[in-house]
This record gives sequence, C-alpha cells and structure tokens, in this order.
Amino acid sequence: MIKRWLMIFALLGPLPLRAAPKKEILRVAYFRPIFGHVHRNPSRYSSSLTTISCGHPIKVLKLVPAKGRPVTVFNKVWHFVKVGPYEGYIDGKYLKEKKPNCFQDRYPKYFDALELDLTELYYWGRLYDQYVFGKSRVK
Amino acid sequence: MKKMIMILFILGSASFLFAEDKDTKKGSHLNFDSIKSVLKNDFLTEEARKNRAGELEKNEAARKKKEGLYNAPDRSDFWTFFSEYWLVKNATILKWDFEKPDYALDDSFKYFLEKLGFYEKRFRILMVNTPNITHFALPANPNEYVFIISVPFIRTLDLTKLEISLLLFEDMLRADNGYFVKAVSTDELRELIGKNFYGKKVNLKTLKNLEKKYDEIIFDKGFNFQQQFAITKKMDHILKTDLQLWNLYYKMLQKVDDLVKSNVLYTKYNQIYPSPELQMNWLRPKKTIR
Repeated sequence: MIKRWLMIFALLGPLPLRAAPKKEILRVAYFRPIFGHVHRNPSRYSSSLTTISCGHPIKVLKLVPAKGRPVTVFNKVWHFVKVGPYEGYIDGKYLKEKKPNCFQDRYPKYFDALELDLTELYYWGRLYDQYVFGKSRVK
Repeated sequence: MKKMIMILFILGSASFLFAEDKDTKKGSHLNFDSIKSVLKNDFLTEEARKNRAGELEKNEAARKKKEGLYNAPDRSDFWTFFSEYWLVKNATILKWDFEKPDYALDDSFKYFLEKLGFYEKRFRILMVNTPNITHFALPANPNEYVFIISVPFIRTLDLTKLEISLLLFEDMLRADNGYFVKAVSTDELRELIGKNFYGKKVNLKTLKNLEKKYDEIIFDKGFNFQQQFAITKKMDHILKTDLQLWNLYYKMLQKVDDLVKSNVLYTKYNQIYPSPELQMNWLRPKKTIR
C-alpha cells in the first residue's frame, strides 16, 4: 500500500516544477497587408488559426518564465501574438506600430462591391505568406 | 333666449381672442424688421451669418466625406490590387499555395538590379507550381513589380539564380514599357480608375472583362514581335556593359529555345514570347565588317 502511494507521489511530484511561462502583452501593433493569417506555428506554411484584415489590432505577447529572462520573440522573423481568442504567430514585417492607411479604408465602397467570399479572403492572406519581397537600394 | 345670448357672447369673445393672437404672431414677424437695425448694431446678424456659413461648411464636409467613400482606386493604387485580385481568383489554376525550397530570389534579384544600377525598385515574386505559365510581370503600381515564375519551369531548365534574375529583368522591362497595361486598358476601365461612383454602382462587368483580358494575355496572346524585338534590343544594350551577363542571357535563350522545341508542356511559350530563336538572331552580332 505504501509502495503504491510512493509511486503516485513520485509520478505527480515533478509536475508543479514545470510551471508554464506567463504570457504578458508587450505592445499592440496593427496588421499591414490587405489580408493575412495568424499561424499555428512560426512558419509561412503552417496552418491558419484565423484570417485577419489590414488595420486589425494585434497584441504582441512576451513569455515570462518562472525563472530566467522574458522571451519576446521566438526568432527574428516571427512574433507570438494574440488575436481575439487565438494565440499564434505573425511575420514581423507585417506588423506596424501605427494604424496603417489600408486599401479597404481608402476605397471602402469599391472594396465592398467586389464581394469577396471566405475562400478568396483566405487565399488573399495566403498570397502574403507566399510572396518573396525585395527592394533594390542605392549603395 | 338669455342662454343664446350668453353662447353668442362667449363665441364672439373667443374668436376675438384668436384673431388677436394671430395678429400678435404676425406682429412678431413684422417687428423683427423693425428691430433689424438694433440687431445689426448688436452684431447679431453677423453672428447668425457666421453660424449659417459654419453649418454650410460642415454639411459640405460631410457630403464630401460621404462621396469620398465611393472613390475607385486611382492609377497609383489600382494595378497591384487588381493583379492580386486576379491571382486570388486564379489560385487553383496557378497553384501558388504550395511548399517550396527557399530560392533566396529576394537577395539575388536585388543584387542583380543594384549591379545594373536599377535602384529603389520594389518587387514581389510569386512562385507557381504549374507549367501553364512560365514567367510574367503583372501590372503593378508605379515603381512596384509583381512577378510570377514557375517552379516546374525553373526545375526543367535547371536555371541558376542569375538566369532567373535575367528572366525577371526581361519581364521588368516589359512592365516598364507598359505593354500589359496598354493591352488590357479599355475606355470602360479608364471611366472607372480614379473616378467617383457616388449614386451609381461599380461596373463589375468592367472588372470581369479585365479579368478575361488578363487571362488572354497571360495564357494565350502574350506579346507581339515588335514588342519582343524592342525588349531584346534593350536587354542587349543594358547587358553589353557586362559581357559575362550578356553571354549568360544568350545561353539562357538557347536553353529555353531547346526546351520549347522538345517539351510539349512548353510549346505555348513561343506564342507568349515570340521567340527565343528570333531573340538569339536579333542578339547575334552581324558577321560582315564594313
């Protein structure tokens, strides 16, 4: 009997030591492209948790572990974010500090007239995952 | 009898009272004129005029704001948006939503442009997983470029980063010459771009026609001989400053020519870009020396 209890304690004992890091809001940013996705994992090919449109406010999170320094960015590209009930990843180049001047806001009635359906919104977001961007500069 | 007299008296006095009330009301209108000079001296008319002008201004601003919602994008905003719209509409045909290796084209094409002295050019490249389309520059906003390039085409030809950059650069020159925009522009479209459609509906038929024109140019018609000649000559002039690049361009055309003559998947290439063989002829220096 005592052995059984010892076994149970041995199994449950280490659990509280593995405390999950706390999530804190680092800042609020705005989504820049026409449409985009919050990804499940920090990869452009990762599945989409939700589709968001330009100007959507996004909470950029940081992880504060029980011990050690807080982690703000998982790598140099991807930001850990919270959008509504979803927590996922967005490419940092698509985030802006101030609300962007979105196409949808500049030409709202024209944009509405196109009557884009959900699939098209999804694909428009994927387009920004697939693009390779660049700009030549004066040296 | 007495009662009758009483009723008549009451009715009479009531009508007199009403008449008096009307007169006083009329009097108030009339009296306003009489006190006009007083109001003027107190600057009340001036104040009223200012208020009226302020109100008119507010109404005008509200009207303009409301009308502004019905603006169609102007030239500086229209083309990139519409090209993306076309890409979204044709996502299943073009098969661009797929996993692929990182070809690092952003860096290689950037360096290529900078080497040739083409600065401040913003570009976006979309790789497609179909041989139906090989490479193309879609219409875009000023100083912006939207490129499509086919991964099967790159793989079949085993193109290097530099060769891909040469293809994209050729497309860039076509875009700069505005061949695509000219081919798809119609009077209907000019009526839409940058105009206001307040009180009307957006002519979706115009956009549908534009979509069809995009399909036509990209999948069937492509460019004509004169346009190809102009582009090849321009490439010749630019690349002659770096003979290594010029040679590479020539060899790449040879590769493409061999492919389109041997692979049935790419037989349409000559129809879109007539033709690698002719381009080589145009590039080849004349043998006779005078």
